[in-house]
Amino acid sequence: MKRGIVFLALIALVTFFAGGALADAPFHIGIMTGTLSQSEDDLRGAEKLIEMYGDVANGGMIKHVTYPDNFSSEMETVIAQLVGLADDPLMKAIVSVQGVPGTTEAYRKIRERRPDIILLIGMSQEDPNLTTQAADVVTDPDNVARGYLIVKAAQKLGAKTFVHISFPRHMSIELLSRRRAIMEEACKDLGMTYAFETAPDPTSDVGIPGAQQFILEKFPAWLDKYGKETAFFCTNDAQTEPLLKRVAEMGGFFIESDLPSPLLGYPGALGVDLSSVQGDWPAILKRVEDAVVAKGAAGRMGTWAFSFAYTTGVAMGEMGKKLVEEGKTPEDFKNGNIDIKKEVLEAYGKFSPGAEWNASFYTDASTGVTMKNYPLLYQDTYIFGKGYMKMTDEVVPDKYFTVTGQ
Amino acid sequence: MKARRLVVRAAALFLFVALGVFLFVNGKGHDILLDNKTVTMGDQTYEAFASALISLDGKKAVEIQRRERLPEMLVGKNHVIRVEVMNRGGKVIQTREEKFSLGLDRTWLISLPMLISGDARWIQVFKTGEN
Amino acid sequence: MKNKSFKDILISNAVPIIFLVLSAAAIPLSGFTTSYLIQEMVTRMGRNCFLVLSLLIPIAAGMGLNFGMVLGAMGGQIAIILVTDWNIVGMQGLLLAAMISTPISLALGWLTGEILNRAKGREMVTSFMLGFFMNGVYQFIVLYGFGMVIPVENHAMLLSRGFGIRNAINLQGVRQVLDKFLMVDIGPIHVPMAAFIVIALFCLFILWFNRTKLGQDMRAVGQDMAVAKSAGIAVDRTRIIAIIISTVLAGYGQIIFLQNIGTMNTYNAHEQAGIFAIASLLIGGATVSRATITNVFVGVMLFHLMFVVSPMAGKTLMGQAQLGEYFRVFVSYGIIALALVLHALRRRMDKERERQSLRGGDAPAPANGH
Repeated sequence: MKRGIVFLALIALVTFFAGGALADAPFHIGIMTGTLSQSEDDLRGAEKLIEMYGDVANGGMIKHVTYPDNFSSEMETVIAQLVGLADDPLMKAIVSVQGVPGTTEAYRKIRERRPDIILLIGMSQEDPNLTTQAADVVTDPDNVARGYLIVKAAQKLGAKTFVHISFPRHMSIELLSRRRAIMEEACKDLGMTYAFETAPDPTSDVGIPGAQQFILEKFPAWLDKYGKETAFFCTNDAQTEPLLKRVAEMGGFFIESDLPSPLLGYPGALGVDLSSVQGDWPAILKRVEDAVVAKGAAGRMGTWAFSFAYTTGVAMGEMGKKLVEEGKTPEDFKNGNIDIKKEVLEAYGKFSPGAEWNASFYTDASTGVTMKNYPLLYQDTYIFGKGYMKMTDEVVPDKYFTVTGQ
Repeated sequence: MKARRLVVRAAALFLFVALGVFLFVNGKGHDILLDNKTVTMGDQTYEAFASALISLDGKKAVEIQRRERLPEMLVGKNHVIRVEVMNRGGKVIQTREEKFSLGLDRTWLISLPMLISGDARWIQVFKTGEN
Repeated sequence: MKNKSFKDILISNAVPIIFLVLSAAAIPLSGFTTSYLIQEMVTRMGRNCFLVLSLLIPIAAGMGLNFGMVLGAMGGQIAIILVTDWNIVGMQGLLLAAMISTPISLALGWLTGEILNRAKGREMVTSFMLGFFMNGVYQFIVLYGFGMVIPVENHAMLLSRGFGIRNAINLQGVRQVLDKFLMVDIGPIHVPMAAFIVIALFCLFILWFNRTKLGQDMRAVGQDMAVAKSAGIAVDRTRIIAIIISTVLAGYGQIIFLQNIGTMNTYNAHEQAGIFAIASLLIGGATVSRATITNVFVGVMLFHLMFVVSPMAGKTLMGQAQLGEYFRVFVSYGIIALALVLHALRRRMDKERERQSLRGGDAPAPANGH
């Protein structure tokens, strides 16, 4: 018993002498991203913020932490990391890029202790009904509108057939199966032929190599079957790489990937070395474009010029900084004093020069409630050797927002 | 002796279950959707109003505008709703208070225009995906 | 035993001491404020102590660390899933969850006890494996049973295929119900009094239990089963009761833990419950055969202190956020491994000493277990 008391006293003593470090920036912005092994683009976004505004450790403004690689089984750590950011009295805004499970709870805890901190999430993995209550702004890619726009872009480029490649596990994910249904509907309306092709699941026994091999081997047969005026879309990132390789070599169209980025698939598929232009998106885009054109695939392959994850990381941080500088608090979000759509588009646009964005608010499919702090975004599609497709000027017909996955 | 023990055990089990049922009914949370949209029921149309203050069980009132639908949460079975209809100038022009009790369904839709007009169908079970 | 040398004390408390030294080094590096750290410790004591306390009774009964407590945690989780689905909120929801978990944990505890009685002397590894086995059963129930056999009304909790619970559930209804029930502010620190009262009651229960006939029997069984048996104690029955009590309480402990966290990781939460609770207890200076309430509190505090400060300390040390995360994983889990090694080492030393004393020799304890 005595021993225990001595220990407790020692802990108290040690704790007492630990003080918070003081820094020079007038306020701090906290950002949590994945690690390099988990999600590189978000991490690069946070590093860009540090590059611009400095690390708190060196008197700058940005405090960067990461969530565990196996975040789903270490929720306690996710929460502790975020709540720890709020321990800094200068902390005025916190951004989570990839709002992994636990973010909502952490935000609730922060709000209880520090109601003055602006809380932002980019790419949420939790239930929208709860995240939008805990955070001030949540953003995500607009996969509903994209379901129509990808098909529309294919039509603009002259495709006659649209092939959707996926497998059962992905088709059991609500949003993916809903997007597939939208694509089919869009094909019907735009006078194109829709086809579904099944590929093996990379998480099954064939593994990633087997799944990639399948695409490489099967593609010529697909091209024979559907003709060269066919656009291909694939829900899996690992399978995107071989698909890009074959489209570049043999023909067909590839509009954009599931979560588009010039880094997704292209460097591997076309053998582009990007080590010297890390983090410089226009330069990355240029190099990939050169490679695509060299393969003779100009005007047939596209992407988003700026990675969504990267732009989200840096834009959300920037938006937080701007709002804090304007003296805005979470109260202003509640009272509707902030034009969320405008602020978000402005911040995203700032870090993706030349690329247009569009945003619309999320509507819960089951209750019909519109969430006015949950803008869904999409970027203009960039076709290599051709330029932007002006997809953000297209109006997505209302009917597509009610198409369900069934 | 054995019989008595059995009775005691049965009574304990009964109490246990009874407490469980009590907690179940008493602690059941309901999602309430307050709806201020124009509704047509058969040949009758109930017009939505410009704005109103809604107070549930005497809690702080929330304001609802025309064509809005607000989610609220209630716990337990019996409740009171108080609606104060306002005109464009923000002056209260009509007040109505209603008692209601909720069954075991999760989500309920309250149509405020119907409630104000005294149509008994103002509260209904809301099936998700209906709208 | 009476005049232990300084070295002895050092060795037998090596784990808490190493922890304390590491924390002392890490705290200034982490840059956290005092009030934040105290708040975190208070919160974490409130949410974890109950789980760790549930390990004490089987230790007294000589059954070692009850890795089978994860079974209780599973019971608690199933109860919480049901309560969340039915949307029973507030204190009612929490109490109902505890009530539902009771019969589940009772059955699981009885099963564990029966199996452990067939594996006397190897209780720890058996219960550890039993945890894995039941994990499969649990996953089967939650991944297939819910929505297929057990009706689920809240579709937001189900996978879109129509059955199976999603991997993370928001416990909106029962979130922090116990903590907020009686929140006392001491200076800037929020103290969840109700949780601590429950923990205090649990401590009193253990103290009282040790004095009852059953508690005495348990200790007798823990000392020597053969002697206890010849003294007319129903050994097997006593052991089963010890495990049942532990399992049921672990179920409550998990409910308390989850209401504080506010979100539940459907498929992993219980795994961590067992490992972290046992690690905390070991770090608090407990052994397989002896654990006190003090061990629990010291252990929970030290373990979680390390958990809170190490990522930030790692970040400061290595200058990069993600390295801080790897540092935390390395330090936290490394120390758990160290605790287990030191624990085994100490057990060997104890045995050695016992042997020495049996020989009647007064020779000093060997410096290292040989």
